Amino acid sequence: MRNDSRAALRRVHAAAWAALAVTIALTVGIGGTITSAEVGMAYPTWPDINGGSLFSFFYGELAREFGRGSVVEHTHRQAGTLTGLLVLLAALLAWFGRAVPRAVRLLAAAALLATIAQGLLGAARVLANSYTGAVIHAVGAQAVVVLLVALVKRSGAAWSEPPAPGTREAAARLRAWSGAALALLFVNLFAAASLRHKQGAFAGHLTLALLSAGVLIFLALCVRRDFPAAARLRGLARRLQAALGVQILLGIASWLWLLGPLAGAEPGDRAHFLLQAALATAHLLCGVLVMAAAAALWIEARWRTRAEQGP
Amino acid sequence: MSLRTADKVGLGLVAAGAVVGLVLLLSGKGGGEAAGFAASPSFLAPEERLLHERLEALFGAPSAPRAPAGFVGAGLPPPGAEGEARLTTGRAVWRTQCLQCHGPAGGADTATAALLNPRPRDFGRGIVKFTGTPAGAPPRREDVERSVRRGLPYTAMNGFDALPEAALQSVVDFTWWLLIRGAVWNDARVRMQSGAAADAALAAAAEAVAAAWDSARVLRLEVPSAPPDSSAARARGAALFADPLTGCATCHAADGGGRGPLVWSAAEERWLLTDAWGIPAQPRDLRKGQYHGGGRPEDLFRRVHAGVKGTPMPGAGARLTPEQIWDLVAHLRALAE
Repeated sequence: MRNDSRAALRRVHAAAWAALAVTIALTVGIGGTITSAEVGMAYPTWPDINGGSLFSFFYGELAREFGRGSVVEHTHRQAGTLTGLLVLLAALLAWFGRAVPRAVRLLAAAALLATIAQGLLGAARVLANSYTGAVIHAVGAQAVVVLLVALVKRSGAAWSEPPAPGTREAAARLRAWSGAALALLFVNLFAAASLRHKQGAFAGHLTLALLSAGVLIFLALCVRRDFPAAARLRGLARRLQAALGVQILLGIASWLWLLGPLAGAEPGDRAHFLLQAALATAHLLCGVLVMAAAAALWIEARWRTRAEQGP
Repeated sequence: MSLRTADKVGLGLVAAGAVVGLVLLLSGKGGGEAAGFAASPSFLAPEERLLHERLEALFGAPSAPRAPAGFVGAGLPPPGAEGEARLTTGRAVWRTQCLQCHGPAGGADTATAALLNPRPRDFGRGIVKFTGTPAGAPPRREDVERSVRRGLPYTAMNGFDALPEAALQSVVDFTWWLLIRGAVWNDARVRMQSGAAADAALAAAAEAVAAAWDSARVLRLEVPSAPPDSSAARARGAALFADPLTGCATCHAADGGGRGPLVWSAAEERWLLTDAWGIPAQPRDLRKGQYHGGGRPEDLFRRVHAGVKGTPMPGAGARLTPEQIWDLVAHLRALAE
């Protein structure tokens, strides 16, 4: 690979990383808080905020005039704008950088289109005051995350390293199960979003969460057993296991405090409400990390494994 | 690259499990309601518990509403299966469209409500702020329908005109039921505080509310034609606004900014008056021209004439002539320019 191509890829990689970090930590994190605090309709207008500007940073004034919930919704819109600008930067760097591979350019374009669509979905959710729109918006956010993970991986230096060696059978199993795990996580995400937006039952989310956890644990075991020499793959599996472990604990705590025996609160019990909101948001954020790790593992399995021995 | 049979079977089972999960998810639609963060059990004083039991015997509970006898004239559905079906349908629409802000029983006791300004309406008081009836009169069903259909500008209350007409009418039915039930409850509590027994207080309150809300159906506030806007009308309106006899400036301030001496303490930086819901009453900043009850001239005429119910904003219809009210409206419009 030529030096100018490496430099261009490094820039795309850095922009994609920044977009991914902002998306998870700010846009999705604040977006999850909106649902946890149930303030999605703090402003029924879009792109303005009851006539005010999207780029207003006078949060104290907004809180006084429209309530604290308005600040949560407003900063989510601002974080979404920042995500959009960073993805746009990554796309521009990919398309105008020298000798950037076509796959990277297409991925960057796809991420940009998905981000724009996600912004419009958020607008439609507000303007139509639609719970169904909110569920689709939640699923769309994870699709953007998965595309950004793909862009980060495809533009990274590690992509030019040799693929992980394994038997043909092990490689096929890893590809099939990692793909199934990712698909299952999206179905479970739909269930979780439906539950949070009062459009679905807990039993559905629980069933899918248990199924997803089982498949992810099996996937991690497959990596450990079948790819003993693949350090990158094993590292990804370890991170996936760690995120899954935390996610299971957060899921149990969320059930206890949001639906289970500790859910009740006296009116005005602010600490209880804050704990519930924090748990729900943390469970969502950890779910995004599980999704990102599973996506990274699937990408490695799909394009970065080599069947070189065995049947 | 082919998979082993065991993997194929495993993946098939996972797919089947996902289908089962989705079926469970969608078959129990609505079950997530329990996840609401503002679980608010009723903490009533012992003497009010009996009254509450009697109220539920008459109206049912918000989770199982019943159309009581004697309120058809007041706009409630007729008692019996048909009326109950209308209220039950309305409640189902309420759960998906209104519950997030107004709460499961219309008490605006959700986390969303706590984070919004203006706070969503608590229907338990039986009061509607913006009505087409004169000062002191109960609302009409059309007032609620208008707010549901068009929403309230500059608030988080969206218009629901896009709902199917039957769904919209049913949710208005349910909201109307919550309001009348709230009005009866509050009236009965007052009577109990005056020494009446729970049964007698409830019976008297139900009769009084049914009669008052029935008579309000014909109390539509007629808005006379607006005279042409003119500088003379604006000047007369400005003089009326500043006149201590109308009292406009004592709350809205001389510049219309909403921090008049009667409602705002500059030294303590706090609002001095509260509304019927116990929320600090903040008069509108008239310079912004952002009116929750609508900003058309006829909306402003009604607001000045009838006041904003449940708030310290009184109706001026008994003290001012229609021409004077139009002059004030002209001044309000000038303030927002």
